[in-house]
Amino acid sequence: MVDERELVNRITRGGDERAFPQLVQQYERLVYHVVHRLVSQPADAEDICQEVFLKVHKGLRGFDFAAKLSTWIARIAYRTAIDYLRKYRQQPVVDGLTDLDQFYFTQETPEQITAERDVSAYVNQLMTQLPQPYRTILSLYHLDEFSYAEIEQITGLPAGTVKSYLFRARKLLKEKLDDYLKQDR
Amino acid sequence: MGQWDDDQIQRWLEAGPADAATGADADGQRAIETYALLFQALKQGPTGGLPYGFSRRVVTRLRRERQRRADRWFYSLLSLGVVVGLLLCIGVATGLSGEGAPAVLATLNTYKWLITFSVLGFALFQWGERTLQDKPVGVSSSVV
Repeated sequence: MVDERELVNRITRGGDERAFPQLVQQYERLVYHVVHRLVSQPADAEDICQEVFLKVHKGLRGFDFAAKLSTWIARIAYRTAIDYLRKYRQQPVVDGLTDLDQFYFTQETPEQITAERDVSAYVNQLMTQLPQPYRTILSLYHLDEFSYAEIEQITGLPAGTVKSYLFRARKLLKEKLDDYLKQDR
Repeated sequence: MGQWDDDQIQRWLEAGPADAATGADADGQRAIETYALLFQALKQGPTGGLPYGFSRRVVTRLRRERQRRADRWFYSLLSLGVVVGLLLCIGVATGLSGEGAPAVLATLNTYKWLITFSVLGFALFQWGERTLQDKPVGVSSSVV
């Protein structure tokens, strides 16, 4: 793992042509995870990811290491994707507390169930149907391993809300997974 | 599910390994297993990802935008130079000879539409370039 401070210095000092591509390679998975959970179209997602790294490059001089570099980049990715959704309204952007108790998943057809025997693929498919903040928080917590405090910094949602969203989303997914496993047995 | 409820199981799985589910009845045990499976599945990333050579595309786009900014700066200076040059010509002609000024003004008057359209065309070009640069994402800029 490359030292963050050293990498940022190499980029901001200039002259090191390889430093910025190295940063992009190091964080492209994280940025893709954040953007992909919000914007489903692959071409749009890629464009937004490019936009994120342009913003990162522009803002690096002002980055003061108050947060981890990954948290700062994830926040830029989240904000950029949210702005995109607000601007082009592909999907509703939900900022407030969504009533997840009223939420229901699209009914799967038996064919879909047969095709999705893999638990991971099934869970991923369910996640795509969850409201926006839940998807993002699940992904940031489990996939990118951010803490509640870091997710608060990234999304701007209070840590308590993040925790509540996470627990409720997992409970809902567990109930669906339970049904799925029962059908499988 | 015995002494285990959903929140407890989740907290317990968050805290550590899922190999000591003691004290849970059959329902609780099944719930723990399902949650453990879910936690495992959530750690799997989405299929697909950014294309190979993504960092190269970002760097290419970065260079292109830098170049565009430099071009814009250059053309702005150039147009400013043309306007200042014209004004200077008029000033010099007026200063050197009282008869020169009407001649310059007459020439300007003759080519007024050409000058106006040139300036407008240049401004339109600048505006068009800026608009294209700020176009919605997902249209074509992913093809670098």
